[in-house]
Amino acid sequence: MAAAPEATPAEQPPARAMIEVENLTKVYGITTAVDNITFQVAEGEILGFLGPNGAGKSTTMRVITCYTPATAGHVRVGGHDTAANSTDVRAIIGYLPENAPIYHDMNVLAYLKFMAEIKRYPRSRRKAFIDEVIQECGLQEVTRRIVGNLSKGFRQRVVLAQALLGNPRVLVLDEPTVGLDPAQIHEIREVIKQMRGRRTVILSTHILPEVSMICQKVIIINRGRIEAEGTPEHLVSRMGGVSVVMATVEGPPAQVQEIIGRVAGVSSVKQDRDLGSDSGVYRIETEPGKNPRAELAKAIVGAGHDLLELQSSGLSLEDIFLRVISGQREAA
Amino acid sequence: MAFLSFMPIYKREVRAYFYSTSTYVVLALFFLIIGMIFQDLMGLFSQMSLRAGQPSMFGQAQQAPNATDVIIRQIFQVMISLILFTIPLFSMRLVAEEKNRGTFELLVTCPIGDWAILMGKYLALVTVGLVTVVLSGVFPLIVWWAGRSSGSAPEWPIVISCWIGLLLIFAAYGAFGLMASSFTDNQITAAVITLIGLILWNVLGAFQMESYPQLREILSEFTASQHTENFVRGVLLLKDFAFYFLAAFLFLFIASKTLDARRWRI
Repeated sequence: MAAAPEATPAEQPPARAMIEVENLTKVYGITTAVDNITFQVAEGEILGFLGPNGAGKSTTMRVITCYTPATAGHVRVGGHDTAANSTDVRAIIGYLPENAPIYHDMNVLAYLKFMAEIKRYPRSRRKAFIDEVIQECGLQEVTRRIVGNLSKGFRQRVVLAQALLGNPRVLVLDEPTVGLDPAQIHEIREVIKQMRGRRTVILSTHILPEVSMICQKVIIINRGRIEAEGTPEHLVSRMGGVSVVMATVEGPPAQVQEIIGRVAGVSSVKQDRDLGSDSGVYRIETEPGKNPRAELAKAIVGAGHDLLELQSSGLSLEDIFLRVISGQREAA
Repeated sequence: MAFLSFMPIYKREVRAYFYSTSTYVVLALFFLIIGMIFQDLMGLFSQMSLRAGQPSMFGQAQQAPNATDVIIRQIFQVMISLILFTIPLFSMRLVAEEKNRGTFELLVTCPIGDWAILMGKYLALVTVGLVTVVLSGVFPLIVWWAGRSSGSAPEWPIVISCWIGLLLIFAAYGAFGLMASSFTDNQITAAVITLIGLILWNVLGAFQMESYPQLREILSEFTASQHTENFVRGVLLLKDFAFYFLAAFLFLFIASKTLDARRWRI
């Protein structure tokens, strides 16, 4: 993952912000769920909201969807304030709440009709809207089934379908892929990816590859605060261009680690996996801007150990995420 | 057409009621109990009829019993008390279930007002009440059919005023149940609040309060059971209509404020 040379979003605000969150704070009793966060989502952008459980992702989404008011600060969606013009905001948002709540006693088609009615779409267009989302979410075979008898994956897709009804300009998806099997996760990600440029999407997740796969922009949130913000590539470069080298070496682990640690440009080394019979995979982090692979190879071979494999990779989002939430962010 | 925005909710709730087994179980129990009492009353009535004209132990001829007094008015009283126990079972799920399942969140983030949500749910509950009241019209009809040859027909004006009363009472109690359901996300809690609340509402005027006779009088005016007496007499008074309508409105208003409370900045 190369560091893309681009300005930080803070310096270059998007041409037209669809969702503007300004100094948003939400306090529940004595717990501060969201603490003074500010961010924007441009029209047609897909924003990934990343954070551990209880970080404030759902709360932020609930304020954006007008379910709960902000304790302080403002949220505007499509130019409408969520507090003052909540009906206008709700009219342009499609929302998939956490755990995909749904009426278990209705069949899929009746449910979608019901949702199209309460979203106040004109009678003449409802059928077209419903057919469209049934197609988009692959619900053709289950339209007559009772929702309560469907699998979790299908239920999730039905609720996603109602969120997509009528092509809302903004989609708010709270953990859209939780509880799905790998094939379904893949399908849903494809559905979301297709929306790039057409709809503004905020999706929350704690699955990292999901974010780098789907989103153009990532916000890492922890304990109610934004810890990092930017494109997936930007976040990696923000970590100071640290890269990771994975080396498979034959030799006694303690000795190998010592040799690797002495190479110039290496900041840390640890055994990642033990392959048995004195060989192991070592995870080597480099100092910013350095990639001492040649030196590593020379040092290992020079010490009489067999080097089986040497692979360089960027710092993954997972690494960044862990660093950020454990508060060990390196000064950039 | 904004005032019809409750229609989707109404249709969904009516369907939920009549697609659900529990509705039929509750209705079956309701009619089973009333049917048993009704049968007793019919038996009592026929015994009284047989004795009519015969001298009693005091030597006077016994009067022919009146079907309206012996059966209709009694059944009306029984139904009122049974409705009190039935309402919590019908109303408890209305909002509490949605809050518990999380569908409430999706519902209120759609461009639909709280008032439309409540009206849809409330009118669906009243529809169930209407069905119950209409079905229970079978009892006066049986009285009429059984007595058609002997000329002891029920007094229809009283039947009609009683049955209008039933619907009003169902509607007022139902509003209370909907309000209680909006307080909580637990259906059992909602049912218990409804039951206790309705019982209290019916016995308000029964508290003695020797030292405050005026207060007692005021309280008895606010008592639900006080306003059923005119229906039994076949009198439809504006004040009784107003009482139940205002009570229903008040409960719905509190329910709407309860839903609104989540939007308060606290």
